[in-house]
Amino acid sequence: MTGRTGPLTRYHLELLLRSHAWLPPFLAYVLLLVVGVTAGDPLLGSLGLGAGALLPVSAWYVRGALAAEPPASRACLVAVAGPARVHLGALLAALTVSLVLAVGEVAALWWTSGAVADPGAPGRPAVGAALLAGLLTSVVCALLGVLAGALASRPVLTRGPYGIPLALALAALLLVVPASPANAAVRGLVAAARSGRVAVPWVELLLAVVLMAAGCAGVAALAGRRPE
Amino acid sequence: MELAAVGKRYGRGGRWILRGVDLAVGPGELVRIAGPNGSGKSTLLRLVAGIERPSAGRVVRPGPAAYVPERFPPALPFDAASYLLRVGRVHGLSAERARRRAGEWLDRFGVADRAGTPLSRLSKGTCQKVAVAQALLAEARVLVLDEAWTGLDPEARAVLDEAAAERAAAGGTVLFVDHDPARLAGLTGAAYLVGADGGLRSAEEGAAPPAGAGPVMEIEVDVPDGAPLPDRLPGAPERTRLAGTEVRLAVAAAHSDALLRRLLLGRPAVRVLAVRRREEER
Repeated sequence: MTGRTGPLTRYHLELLLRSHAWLPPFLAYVLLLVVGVTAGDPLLGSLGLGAGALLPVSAWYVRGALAAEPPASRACLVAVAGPARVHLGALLAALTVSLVLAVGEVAALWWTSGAVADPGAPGRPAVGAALLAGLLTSVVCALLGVLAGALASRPVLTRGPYGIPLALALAALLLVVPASPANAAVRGLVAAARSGRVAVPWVELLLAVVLMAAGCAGVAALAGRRPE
Repeated sequence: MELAAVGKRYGRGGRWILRGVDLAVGPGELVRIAGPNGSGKSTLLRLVAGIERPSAGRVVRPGPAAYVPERFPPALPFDAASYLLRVGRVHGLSAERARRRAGEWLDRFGVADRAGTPLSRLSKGTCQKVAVAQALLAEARVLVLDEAWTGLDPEARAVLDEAAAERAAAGGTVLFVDHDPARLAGLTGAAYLVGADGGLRSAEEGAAPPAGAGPVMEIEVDVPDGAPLPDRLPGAPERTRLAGTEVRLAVAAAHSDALLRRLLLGRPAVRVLAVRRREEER
C-alpha cells in the first residue's frame, strides 16, 4: 500500500503548490493569526489560538488538494496505482502542507510573543516546553483537520453544495467537543497559560494519529469502492 | 487480463450499460472495442484500466495499467516534462529514468522543444501527445487507449500506432477504441462490439488487411540459428520460406516500420537481407 503513496503524495503536493490552491487557506490562516494575536501577547495563549485556527485550515487544504486534480488526469493515476492510493496521496499532501504551516505558525508566534505564560501565573514555564506543547497541539489540530476535510469531501460526500458547511461544522465540532483530542490539547495550552505549568499533549497526539489514520484509511478504501 | 460476467450501471436501478461481459486478452494481444456512440465502450475501457469498479462480475489485471483518456485536461498546472516525471515516479520509475523516458517520448512525438511549456499553454494536439506519452513511458502491462488518436497529427498517429504495436510485441496487452475502422488493422488480434443491450460480441473484422489495399513491402530476413519467427508479428505479414533459413515477409507498407522494428529488436535475432516495395504483378 505504501510503495506508491510517496510519489503520489509528491504529485499532489506539487499540484497543490502549482495550482495556487495552497494560497487562499494560507492567507485566511495568516489573517486569523493577525486578528487574533497581538505582538507581545503571552506565548502559550497565542499558541492555543494558532493551533485551533489550524484545524479548519487543514480541512480546507484537503478540499483544495482533491479539487485541484481534474477527473481525466486522476483517471490516469488511478489506472496506475488504484483509487485508494491516489486518494491517500491527496490526503497526505494536504497533511504535509498543514504540518509545514504548523511549524511556521509556532516559529512566528515565538518571534512575536512576549512572556511565556500570562502575567500573574504562579509557575514560570520554560520556552522549550511551551513551544513543544504548542507544536504538538498544532499537529493534533492539523491531523484532525485533515480528517474533517476527508469526511466532508468525495467519496464520502459525492456531490452537492454541502461540502464546505459540513467541513466547517466538523472542524467546529472537533474544536469544542470535550472528548476530541484537539479540544483537550488546546484546553491544555490555555490552562497552561493561566497556571504556568505546561503539559505536553502526547496522549492527544497519539489519539489524533490513530483517529486520522483510521478515518483516512476508511475514506481511501471507500474511494476504491466508489471511484467516481 | 480477464473480465468475467462483468456488468456496470450507475446507481441502483440504473440502466445496465454493460452486462454479462466476458473477455480474456492474453499478453501480446491488441484488441479493438467497437460500438456506436454512448454504447459503453469507454466504460468498458475504464473498467479494464481499474478506474471504475464493475457493478457485477470481476476484472483481473496482470499488473498496473496505463490509460489515455479521451480528453486530457489542459487545466493541469504542470509543464509537460515535470508532469511526465511525476507520473513516471508514480509508475515506480526512478527519477532519472522517468526524466529520460519523458524526454525520449516527447522527442519521438516531436515536441521536445515544448517540454518546459505549461500544459495550459500547449495546443490541444500537443497536450494529447503528453497524455499519450504519460501512458507509454512506463511500459505498463496493460495499455488502454480511449480514442487516443483523436486530435493527433498524422505523424503522431503513426508514432502511436507503432508504439501500440511495440507494446504488444513486448508482451503487453493493448485495448483500444478508435473511430477509424482501419486503425491498427492487421495487427489487431480480435475486435469486439458493444451492443445496445450492453453485451459484448466478437466483431469479425481486422483478420487480414484487404488485398490490394495500398502498397506492400517485402522484407527478406535470415534467421541464422533457424529458430521460428514469432506467431504474432506487426501487420500479420504473409510468410514465404526461401532457401535455407531465409524468410520473406510481405506486409502492408503502413506496418512495415513496426515490423522491421520488431524484427530488429526482438527474438530470435535476425539479419535483414532486403527491404523493397513489391513489384506490381502482371
